[in-house]
This record gives sequence, structure tokens and C-alpha cells, in this order.
Amino acid sequence: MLVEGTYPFVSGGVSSWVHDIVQGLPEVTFDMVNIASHPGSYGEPRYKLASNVRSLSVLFCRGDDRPAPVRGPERAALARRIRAVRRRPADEKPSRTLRGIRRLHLDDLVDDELIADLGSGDLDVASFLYGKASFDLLLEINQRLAPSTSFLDLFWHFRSMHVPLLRLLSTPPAPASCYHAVSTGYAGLLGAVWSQAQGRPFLVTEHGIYAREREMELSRAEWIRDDGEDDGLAGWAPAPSALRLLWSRMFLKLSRIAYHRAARIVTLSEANRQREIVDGAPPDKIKIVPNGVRLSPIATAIGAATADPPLAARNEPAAVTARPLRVGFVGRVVPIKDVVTFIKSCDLALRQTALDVRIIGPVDEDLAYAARCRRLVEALGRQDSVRFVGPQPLAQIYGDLDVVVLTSFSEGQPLVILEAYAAGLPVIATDVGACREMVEGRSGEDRQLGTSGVVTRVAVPQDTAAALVRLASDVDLRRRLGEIGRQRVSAYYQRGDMLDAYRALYQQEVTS
Amino acid sequence: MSLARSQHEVAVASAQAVPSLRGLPPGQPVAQSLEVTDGRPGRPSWVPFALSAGIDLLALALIALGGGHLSSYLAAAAVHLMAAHVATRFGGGFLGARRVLAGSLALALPFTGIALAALALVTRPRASLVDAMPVDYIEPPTLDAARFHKIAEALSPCEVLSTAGNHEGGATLAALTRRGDAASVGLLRWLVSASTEMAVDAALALEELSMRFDNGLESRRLVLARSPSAASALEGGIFIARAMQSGLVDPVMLAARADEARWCFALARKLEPAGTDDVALAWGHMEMAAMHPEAALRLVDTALARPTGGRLRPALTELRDAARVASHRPRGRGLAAATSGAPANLTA
Repeated sequence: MLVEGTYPFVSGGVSSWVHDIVQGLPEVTFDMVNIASHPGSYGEPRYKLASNVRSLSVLFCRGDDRPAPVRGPERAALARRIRAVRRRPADEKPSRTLRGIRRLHLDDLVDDELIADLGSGDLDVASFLYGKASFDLLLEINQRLAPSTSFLDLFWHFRSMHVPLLRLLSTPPAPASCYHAVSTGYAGLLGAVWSQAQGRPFLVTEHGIYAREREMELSRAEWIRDDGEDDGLAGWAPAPSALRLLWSRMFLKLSRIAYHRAARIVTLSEANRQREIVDGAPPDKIKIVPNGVRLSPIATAIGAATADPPLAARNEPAAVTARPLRVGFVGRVVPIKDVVTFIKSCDLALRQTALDVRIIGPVDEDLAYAARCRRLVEALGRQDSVRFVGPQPLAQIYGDLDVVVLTSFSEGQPLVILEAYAAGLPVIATDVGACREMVEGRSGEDRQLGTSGVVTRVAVPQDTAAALVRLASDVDLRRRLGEIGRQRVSAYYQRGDMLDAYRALYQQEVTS
Repeated sequence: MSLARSQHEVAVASAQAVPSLRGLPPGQPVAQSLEVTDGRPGRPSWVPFALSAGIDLLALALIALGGGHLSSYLAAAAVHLMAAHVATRFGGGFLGARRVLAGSLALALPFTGIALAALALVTRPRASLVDAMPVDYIEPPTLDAARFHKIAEALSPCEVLSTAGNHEGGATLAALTRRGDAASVGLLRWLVSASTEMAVDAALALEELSMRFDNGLESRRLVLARSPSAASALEGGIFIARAMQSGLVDPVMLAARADEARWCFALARKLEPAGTDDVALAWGHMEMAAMHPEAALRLVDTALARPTGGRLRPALTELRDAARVASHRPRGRGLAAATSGAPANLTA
């Protein structure tokens, strides 16, 4: 199984999912391959590896690629060798890897030959950085795709773009019965190359859409300047820089390579499926397998942990009106979760109604952001109502809440919503990823169940505040939404169903 | 397309409605505007015409004193040519057809031609209203073929931001994030609230700008805590005021940020009483951005009541006028309602 920047070193949705799959399929043996940015980018693992994980390898996209300095007699010998090479007539065989890289940028077609070229392993990083053939390719890209871009900029972007690819592609394939990448991008590329080299099947699971996420990062990148930004033509959109297009096209191409090689593409929601088709995934390969949770442990744990009456009776009007609405944000305190908007929403709602707000989740992943959120609570003077309580056991989280709020900028299919449903709680969630499907139903019978929460606009605190005020004042509504959520998760989001689907996929691919 | 255009105009118009911190240290422009001119640099002077007439007199003298010789006529013709050249070459301020007309008249009709040219071109046409109005001359932009091509190809920011998945959208968002001025913030907020396909991208861009502001504010707080001075206090207040004016400080945070800015301005005034006018001007603009024109009016009135008139008097007077108008404007829902604590759509 190939993952990029997640399990077991980073906690979060994808990591939890991987952990769940690995633990839930004890009959399958996993070799985990984690693709990381650079040495030292991870701390201690956040998850204890299950007994069916045979190995864990970490591959780094970046490192020290400069050749070691040579001095003294060795240097003189090297100089003699270089002179001899220069005198020799050029009979160098063109690199297949370089041909593959050329096709990444200059050819739209994705086929087996491209994957084979990229996986040929005949170009190391040093040859790429200092070789004439790669410089010639740079010149060709300059002339054909970026004639008006600063050559110096293109030179450094060209290097940054391809060094991670070459480092990863130079890794010998790990033998496996089936390769499974938990994203496209670098993990998808490596999975596709290894699967083709070994003649073994390949699966891709996409939680978020990789190419789209990179596109969003590129649109905020400070290191790309677009044409026309500074020429005084105010009121007109700048033309995208050739560098932006190069990066963007490369990420899209990596996704398309994974889609091409994959026997099955698994995604979480219909919305994701549509995006994948737009990005070039063959529709007949795509299968939707939603995330799932175990219902009974959550319900049992909640029953045991809380002194309140059972689920159905918990929201009796007399009990509810006596205390403020207990609102929970459950997740990591990181920018992508937009905790800032959550705090602002609570501040607005607190001007209308009483709330007891808890931010439940680790705060150590982005200390600066966590500090910013704490300062915001102080600036608004809401220290008494909004508390950072850190990570807590599952039962303790949901047994002590009336409503769960998500204000994320980006989500796949958040487990938090499913857990809240399992606990019979309504949710307020932003319209990202599969959230709308999870709240309003995906299709047919699911939609007929009704809505199990409120969907809000991204980064609009007034929407979330309005929903909080409404739920605070209407106990029946809260109970109704919670009940629909419970029915929905029990019908469509059971962990057992998800594990069965993957078990069947593995069996089908390995035996075929 | 028309919807996109009108929304863009609304965004720009709302950005222009935000008053600028005039008189404060230079910063980002609030909005750009285009002024219309007739392209005339000003009226030419009489001097070259008088000189030309003098040279023509010399030509006349050559003919009179030449005794009918061919050479004297040729010399007179050459001098007359010179007179015409002087009229056109040094008739400063002529453009295009006017220069040709002056040259033609001077060349075709000795003496009278120059007089006619002077009468036609140097005197002010009575019927022209535009000429009577003082107009600043603006250098027209030079448009080469590449720029024309770019204009023909380019779309408006609203058009490219209306649909997701195009690279122009990404480039535009990057540009808006980098600029971070009132127009950019207005456009980003519109994208978020209109829930377009680019809403998430726009929200992330706004978050980026907010984070930059928060970090900047935090570093200014640290400077102020370490070594309090009037300059750093004033700078802190202005930093917050600018963010309020650009719309970066959202309604939820407006009251809290305004309080902090007030604290900074009060500290600056306390530490350096001599710089009261600077503080009053910046503070007044901040109060305007915080939707408290009455407070701005009080501050400016107090500053103007002091006998020591300074360089900031015109700016203070201008702010007082703006505050007077704003204080009589009816308060509606929107920013003021949001700051008063009512969520916008409680019944939604």
C-alpha cells in the first residue's frame, strides 16, 4: 500500500482510514510505503502498526543530490576521465526516462509505453541535473511551452519538478500481489510503475482529488508570477504563467497515469467520481465505496460514559432548556479545518443564545495556527464559552455533545460526521467534499430519509451561527435530525460494508 | 457575462466607497480609476508666431533691397521657408493636424498666413466647454501590438472566476492574494458569499490574507510591548485601520479590532502630544471604517479647534466633511447589523 505524507506519521482522515483498513483485514499482509517530502519531515508515528503490516518504508522526494566533493589525486583522475569522455564521439543512447518526462509535458497521450519509459530507471538524479540531454529537453520546453518565461526561473522550476520523480522512480519495486495507492500523484505514479514492472494489479483510492488539491495550492503559491500582473492592465485577469501551467499539467498527468494503469479506481462520493471523470478517469473503472464506522461501540460507549438518559430520551425539553447547547468541533486544529470560522460562528451565535463550545482534537500539529485560534478566542472575550479540550476518547466526545460542527475548507468524507450520526447527533457542515451527500443523502432512498443536519457555505460564519441558533432553540428539530443521521449511517456507512468491499476488490484483482 | 460584469462593477464600486487613509504613509491603492482627457497639453504661446513674422519681414526686406535680382527672390523664398518652419517647429503644444494647419498657412500666405494661424490656433474657442475646464494632462498608455493582443485575449477577473478549473482563475486568485487591496478583498468576499465553484479557493485566499494580517499585527504588538513609542503605537493603529478599510477585518472582528486600534491611537497621543494631528487623522479614518462617523467627527473637530494650524489641516477638513455626511446617512442592515450581533440570516 502506497501513501503520500500520511499513515502512520500524521493523524487525520486518510490515516484513520488506512489504519481501519489494515486492522479490519487481518487476513491481508501489507507492506506500507510512505512517500515523504524530506528527511526529518516526520516525528514519531501516530499509529501503532498492526501485526499484519510486514514492513514500512519511507521514500523521500528531496535530499542531498549533490555528488560528494572529490579532492587530491582522485580529482586529477576524475579530470582525466572527463577529458577522455569529451574526446570520445557521442554515441550516448537516449534515456527512456527522459523520453517519458518529455511526454509528461509535450504529449497528451497516456499509455503503457509512457509508464514503462518512466519506470526504466536509466536516469539518475545527478545525470538529470548535469546532463546535456536533460538540458536539451529544458531548451525544447522553453521554446515550445514557455518562450516568454524567464529562462532562469524555468531552469529551477524544471529541476524542482523532476527531481522528486527521479528519486522515487529510481527505487526498485517492492514485490507484491497487488499494489494499492491511497492517492494519485507521486504515490499513484509509483504504484502504476511498479505494478506494470511486476505485472501485478493496481488499485487507486482517492479521498480528495489530488490534481484539484494541487491546483488550489498553486493558486496560492507566492513563487509563481503570472503574465500581465504588473503591466498596468487593471481590470483584466492575468494570463496564467507558463510555469503554473507546467506544474498543473504535470500533476494532472500523474493522476491520469494512475487512472490509466489502475484496474479499479475507488472513491468516496458521487461528487468525487464526477471530478475524476473530468480529469480523465474511465467511468467504468470507478467504484464508490463510502467510509464507514462501527455503530455499536459508539452507541455502547456513549451509553456507558454519560450519566444522561439513553439516546432517544436525552433531549427532553426540560433537561435541554436548563443548559446551554453543547457544541463540538472535532478534529485537528489546523488551517484546512478553518477553526477560525468556527470560533467566529460561535461568537455570533453566542450573541443570541447560550452555548458551551469545545474544540476537541490535537493542537500540536500547527502550533502557530493553534496560538492564532486561542488569541482569537481571547480577542472576542469568549474564554468562558469556548474551550480547547485536546484529544479525547470517542465515547467521551460524543456522549457530551448536542451538535457537531465542521467548518473545513476541504474534506473527503469526514469520519466525524459518521461518528456524530452513530451517536444520534445532528451536524452542521460546510459544503465541501462529500458533506452535502452525507447530510442530504446521495440518491434515491438515501435522500428520502431527509436531511440529517445543515449544510453551510465555506468561510461564512453567519451561516453556521444561524444554524447553531436555530438548533439551540428547537429541541425537536435536533432530535429529528439526529435520528435521521442515525438511520443514514446505519443504512449506508457501516464499517463492515466498507471492509467487505475492499476484501472483495483485493480478492478479485489478485485472483484475476 | 453581463451578470459577471455587473457583479464586478459592484465589487469595485463597494471598494471605492471605502474612504482612503489620505495623509497617512503610503500603502496599497484602494481602487484604480480612469480619468478622461481630450489629450491637449495646453495652449501654445504667441512667441513663435511673432518670431516667424519677424523672419518674414526680413524676406520682404531682401526683396525690396534686392533690385529685382533673381538671387534676392531666391534668398527671400528661403527665408520665408524658415519663417514657416519656425511657426510649426516651435509652436509648442500643437498636435497632429493643428501643426500641419499652422505650417500650411504660414507657408502659403506670407505675413497674413502667420497671423491667421495665430488667430486660429492660439485663441480659445468660445464654444468649447472642455477647454474652459482645467484638465490635468495624463500621458496616454503606450499600446504596442503585444498589449493589444493581450487585451483582446484577456477576460475580466469575474469571468475567469465564475467557473472552476481554468488556469486563468488560479492566476487571478494568486494575483488577488498578492495584492490584498480593497478591490481584491471585495472580489474574494463576493466569490465566497456567492458560493461559486471557486468559493473554496477564494476562502483560502482570504484566509491567507487574514493570516498575514494576524501575523503582522502580532509582530507589531510585540514591538509595542518591548519598546513602547508614539511611532510604533501610531503604526499599530494605522495597520489595523488599513485592514479595516480594505474589508479584510470581517464584521465579527470589527469591534474587537477597532478597540485595539483605539488603544494604540490613545497611547500614541499620550506618548507624544505634539503629534496629535497625525493621530487624530488616522484615528478618524479608523472610526469611519468602524462605522462610527460621529466619533470621527468629534476627533476631527477637536483637532481643528486647536489654534496651531498644521500641514494636515486640509486633510482633516476633508475628513470632517466626509464624517458629517456619513453621520447623517441612515444605518441599514449589513455591516452595522452584523457588528451589533445579529447573524445575517437567522430565519434561513
